[in-house]
Amino acid sequence: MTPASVVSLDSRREPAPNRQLIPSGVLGMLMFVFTESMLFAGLISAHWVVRAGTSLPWPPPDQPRLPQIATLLNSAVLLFSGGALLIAHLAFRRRTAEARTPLLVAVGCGAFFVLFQGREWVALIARGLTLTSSPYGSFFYLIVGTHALHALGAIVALAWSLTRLRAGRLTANQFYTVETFWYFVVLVWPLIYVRVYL
Amino acid sequence: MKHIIWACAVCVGAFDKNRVAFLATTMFMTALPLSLLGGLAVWLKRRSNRS
Repeated sequence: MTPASVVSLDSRREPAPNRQLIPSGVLGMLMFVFTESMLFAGLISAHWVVRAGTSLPWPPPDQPRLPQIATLLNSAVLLFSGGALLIAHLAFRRRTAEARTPLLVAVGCGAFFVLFQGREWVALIARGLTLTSSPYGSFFYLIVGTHALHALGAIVALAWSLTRLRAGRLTANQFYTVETFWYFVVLVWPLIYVRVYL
Repeated sequence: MKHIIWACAVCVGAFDKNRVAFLATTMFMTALPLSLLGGLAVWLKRRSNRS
């Protein structure tokens, strides 16, 4: 081996270690959230076109009105839940255990939101707004129901992360992944409220 | 005959409001995935530059 080749081998740099720009769980959740965004975009677009295409008043005169004010207040609870989760995120980065209380608040507010929506549904069904009563009812239950299913799934995930946090076994990757899902549920709601309730 | 015409989504598009809705939702549905993926790419690029 000539001295030149030795120099050449020694100067060959080691490949740089792979840097993880984003936790793999968060990236996976973002992909899921993107597809779900398209689902909601499709539902909202269909609602928009049908609403614009009808020659009848919207909502139909024989159908009950949606509770706009009560739902607005409930929306504030959901947004507050998102804020609490953001506080939990900041606390988690400082010291893991500090995230417990804000995370509990986020789960509680999220559960309240879904329960309140359920109560609203029961009242609307009793007043005659059903899935088959009109396109107005169909779209309402389809869009809001799809969101409620996502909210339920996210609340289960949040509760799971709270349990793991209490046991001291919650990793940052897991927490940030669940967080991403909940932010999606929170942020898509104002759009649904504006399109469906107003 | 009238009910057959009304069953067609494009025929209903005779309303101005409906045409606007078709146009707006088409733009919305086209722009959304591009914005989401574009936003993710820009964000990852910025993170990469920072680190």
